[in-house]
Amino acid sequence: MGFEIFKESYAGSIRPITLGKGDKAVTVGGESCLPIYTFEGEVPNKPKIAMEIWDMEPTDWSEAAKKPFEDVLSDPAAWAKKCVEEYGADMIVLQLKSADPNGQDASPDEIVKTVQNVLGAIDVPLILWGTTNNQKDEEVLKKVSESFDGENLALGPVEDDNHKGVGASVMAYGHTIIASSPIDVNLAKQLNILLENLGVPTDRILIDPTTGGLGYGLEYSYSVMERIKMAALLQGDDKLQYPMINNLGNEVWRCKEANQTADDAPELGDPERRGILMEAVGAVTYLMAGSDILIMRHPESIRMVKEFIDLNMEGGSAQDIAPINKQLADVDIDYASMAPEPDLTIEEEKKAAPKKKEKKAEPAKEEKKAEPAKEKKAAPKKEEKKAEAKPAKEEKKAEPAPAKEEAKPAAAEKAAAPKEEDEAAKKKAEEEAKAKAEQEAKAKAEEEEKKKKEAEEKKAKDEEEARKKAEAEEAAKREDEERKLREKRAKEREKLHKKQETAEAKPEALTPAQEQKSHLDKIVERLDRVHRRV
Amino acid sequence: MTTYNVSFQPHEKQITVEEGESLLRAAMEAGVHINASCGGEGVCGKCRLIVEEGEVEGGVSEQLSQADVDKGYRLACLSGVKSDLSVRIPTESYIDAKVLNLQATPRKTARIKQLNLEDLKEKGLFVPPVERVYVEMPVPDSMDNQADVTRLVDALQRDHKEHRIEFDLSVIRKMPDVLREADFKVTVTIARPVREDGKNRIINIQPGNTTDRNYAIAIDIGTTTIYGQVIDLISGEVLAQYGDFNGQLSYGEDIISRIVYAEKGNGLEKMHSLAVSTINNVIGKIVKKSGVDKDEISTITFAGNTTMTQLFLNVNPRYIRRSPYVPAANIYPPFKAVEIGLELPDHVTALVYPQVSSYVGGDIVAGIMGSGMYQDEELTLYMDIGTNAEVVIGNKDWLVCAACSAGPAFEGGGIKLGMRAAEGAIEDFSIDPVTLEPMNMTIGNVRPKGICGSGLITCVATMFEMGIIDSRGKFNRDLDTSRIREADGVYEYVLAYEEVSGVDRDVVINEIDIDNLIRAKGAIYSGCQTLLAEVGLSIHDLHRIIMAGGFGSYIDLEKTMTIGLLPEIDADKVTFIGNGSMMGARMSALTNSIRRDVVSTLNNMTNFELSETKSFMDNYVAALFLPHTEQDTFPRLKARLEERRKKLAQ
Repeated sequence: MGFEIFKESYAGSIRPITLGKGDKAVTVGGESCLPIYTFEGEVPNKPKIAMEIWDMEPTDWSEAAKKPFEDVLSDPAAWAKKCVEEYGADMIVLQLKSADPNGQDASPDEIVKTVQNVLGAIDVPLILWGTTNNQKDEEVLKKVSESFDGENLALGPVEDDNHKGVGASVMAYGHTIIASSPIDVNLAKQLNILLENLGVPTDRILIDPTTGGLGYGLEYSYSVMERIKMAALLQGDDKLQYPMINNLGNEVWRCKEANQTADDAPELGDPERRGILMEAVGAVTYLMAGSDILIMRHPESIRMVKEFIDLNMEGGSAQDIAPINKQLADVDIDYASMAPEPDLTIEEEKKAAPKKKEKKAEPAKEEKKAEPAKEKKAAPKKEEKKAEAKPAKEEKKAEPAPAKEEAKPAAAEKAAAPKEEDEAAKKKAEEEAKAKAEQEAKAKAEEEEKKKKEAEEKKAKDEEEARKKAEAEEAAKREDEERKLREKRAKEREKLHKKQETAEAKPEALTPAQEQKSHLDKIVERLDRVHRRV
Repeated sequence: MTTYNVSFQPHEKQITVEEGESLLRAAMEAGVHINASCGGEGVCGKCRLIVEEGEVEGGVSEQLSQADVDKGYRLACLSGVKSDLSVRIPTESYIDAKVLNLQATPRKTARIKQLNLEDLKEKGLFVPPVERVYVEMPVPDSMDNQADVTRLVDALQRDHKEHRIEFDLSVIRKMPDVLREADFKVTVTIARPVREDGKNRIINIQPGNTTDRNYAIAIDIGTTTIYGQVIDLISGEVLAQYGDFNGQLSYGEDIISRIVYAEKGNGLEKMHSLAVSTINNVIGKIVKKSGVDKDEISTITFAGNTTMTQLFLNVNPRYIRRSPYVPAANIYPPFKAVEIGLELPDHVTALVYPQVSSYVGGDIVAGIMGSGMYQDEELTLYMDIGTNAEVVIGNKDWLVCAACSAGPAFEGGGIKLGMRAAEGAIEDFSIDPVTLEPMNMTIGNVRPKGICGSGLITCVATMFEMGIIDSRGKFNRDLDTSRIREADGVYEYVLAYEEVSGVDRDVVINEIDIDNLIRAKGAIYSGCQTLLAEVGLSIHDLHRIIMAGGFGSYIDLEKTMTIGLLPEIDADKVTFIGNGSMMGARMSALTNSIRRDVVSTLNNMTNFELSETKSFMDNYVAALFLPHTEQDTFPRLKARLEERRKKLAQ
């Protein structure tokens, strides 16, 4: 008998929720296993990434976050278009920052105009994210909901205080609601119950468990999401079987560390890479916690996370994933000068007689002589060298200091020069390659579009019908599958019980305890222990 | 007592009631709604109905015109049942009978289970801690000039088989004069020892035979309310009863804030004297009410939670609040009531019920002993519902307990128009499903002054089931009624407008009140859940529930399950014993054996600190919902709500 991996059987699955309408529609959720556990169940829809845009020009964004969008930051529609066309966004999130009553306090009508523009510019689903001021959100979201009847926008965050107003409107005008609760599995469930009681259809709800930034409460969100997923899948809690959405980009990029420049915090390294990585690491964490939609900001982190998702869902090698493609100039940070001076003295030696000092100093001198040669060869080794040199410096005080200082700048220059040349060449090559690729792609795309248009017109009608059929079938299939799953689980459980029973029976039969403990005895025993009576 | 059948139309509901019962109460019992906001005093004139068959007594008032009276209209609250009746409730418009009967849940009212004294006597447990004995002794002469004390001891030994006797000095001081004044025929009061090998203490001596008069006072020191009773130790009867808000209330509503106050300056002294003065006030009232001579009172017993007990006894409660939560004492010695400033004769002995832990005090021990749970086989859940609610689970073999801070909502504290279960308190309620007009029943059938714990539970449960409030306890603002309104930014429902209320304003219930109730019930329910989980059991394993609490005289069990205070179990399995702490205090005045059992019960009891139990907070948040976030654990309610939704959708 071959090795058989133990598989968890689940009692439920996440409801598939469709955002957007018609050809633009995107479905999320539907999974019947824990995140990325594709060997235990079905994950019909990959987690999606929604790119965030703002309805006003952001003033407090870091250079790194602004750079990819610098030409479109003041025009939400162009921005959205760029996200979809250039960066392949699955969906767009319009953050309604201008509506904030403590800021610009834009009126619902102004917001509607912006939404109109954005909606016209993209062909992917649109999510609207309010200000988290309950009252204002209710006003704005209700107005937006009315104005875009049937567009199936996702509107949020909706909390218990405004769930009724927004919920009723969402129901009436055919949108999806993002139910937001403050990092608590019970509160999330309560809000869903309220929405269901209100009559919101169960295929129109997403859960926002409240997202903590990396290093700013991520672990709380993580464990609550984990519990929501466990309750939904393992306990079959139908009040929690909704996809989850995480407003991640906004949280990560507003934290202090994501915005500090190289001058502010040189020890944290290149601010561009830092921000991108913080967002990507946060995203991967949330994917593992069970996120179905991630709201993200930087195209590079989005690219990497998408590749991570594909890697997990379809396999492949992580080595094929390209490193971060920087858009800002490289920063020059002298890590060496920041490194703390290691204390290499050994305590026993410190106590020992002063004679040893001289002996110890000698090898240090020898090393000094060899240094310049080594440094020329490899710039990074500088750090090591310096570390080695330092204790010598301490003991010998002023003596070797001048020599070292001379060596350093010389080495740095030499090391830097080839690097710059290299990079310049690389960049040129890259740019050329890019241009070529783009031209080719354009030509191809144009041809394809022509063909597509012709085909599309014919197909459109057929597809519409087919899709409806397929949907009905899918629903039936899903139900059927769930039923089967349940049956299977029941069978498996039975088996397991039988196994356990037979397994338990054996040792008992072999060595029966002289006195069998009753349930009561066990409780009393346990209490005695708690009470320290034993 | 003659009983009659009353049938209500168009509801087609019937009920059998005793002669003279008001039609309004009969309707409430039958689950029939009649608009009535004045509590049954006959001033609102809303509870009009038509007597179609049969005869009633009264029911006529200025509110009804002669023409109406001739047509058969009567006011339900003023009509006494005199024969079998058929009455019709006029509906303002045509209402579908289906909607009409969507009304209230089947009523399962639990009245207080009275203490069975006969049962105690049969079991030989009726050994009062203080007894009186009439003694006649020979008058001293030149041949017999023994000391007075020796003479009395001899007589007690000879005629009454009383041994191991000792005297209070105060008794010896009184003795020479009393003996001679009464010609050596006196009554002595003997305090019995808790342990059988202890001494019998003579605490009082009175001229003549006064054995037919022996009284005790039992006091329940609650965080919010202090109750007192005068008890006849010979018959076991309660002669008078009174409750008053604890004077400490203005220094904090919960025990923690009281402790904090007591830690400052002479705060402890202040807390102590406030408790004593409230108790003195209660004693004054009940003694006067009962008509008993203060000198005939032999003992006073107390039951209260640990903090209240320590504050009352002037013992620093500082360490109760701090980990590892240590109380000063579990068992207090008997002491003279006068010693701590109680206005009672100096012979009166005070007995304090023992405690378990810092947050599980004498009140719950008293309740467990009083309810007999400690002798039962069945797995029982005992809930003492009060400001500092306590939960005990177990049977005669083991007991676990925990305290949960519920807040004063059940006693009317923290509720805008909350009040104790006293005259004028709304104790029962129903609402018209269409017009949303209320039906208020008050204690004493007078104009409503406020709402008491059981009224609040019924109110919230009814409104929730009727869809007037949602699971968070927030009013449905789309309903067409002027009774739901916003005042100072808070939504409220007007139970009784000022014109018909017994206070100088509208009697209302608002969202903050409801929120306080939800928090209170959430704390208690999650406490039970956590405690059960700690011993590896679940709510389904419970055989019965004993509920104690200072509600009115009764409570609607189905409603307590609707709000999720009690788990949904068979109403037959629930016993309501009223104020458990009071009951315990009373029992300890009546029988000594219960105090003997206390020590072994205490040893059997394991206390869990909920604050140190990880799952508690989670359970608590889940319980802050009507009835509960896990709605499947309330299947009966779920079915009713679905039924209602279906019917309304039709």
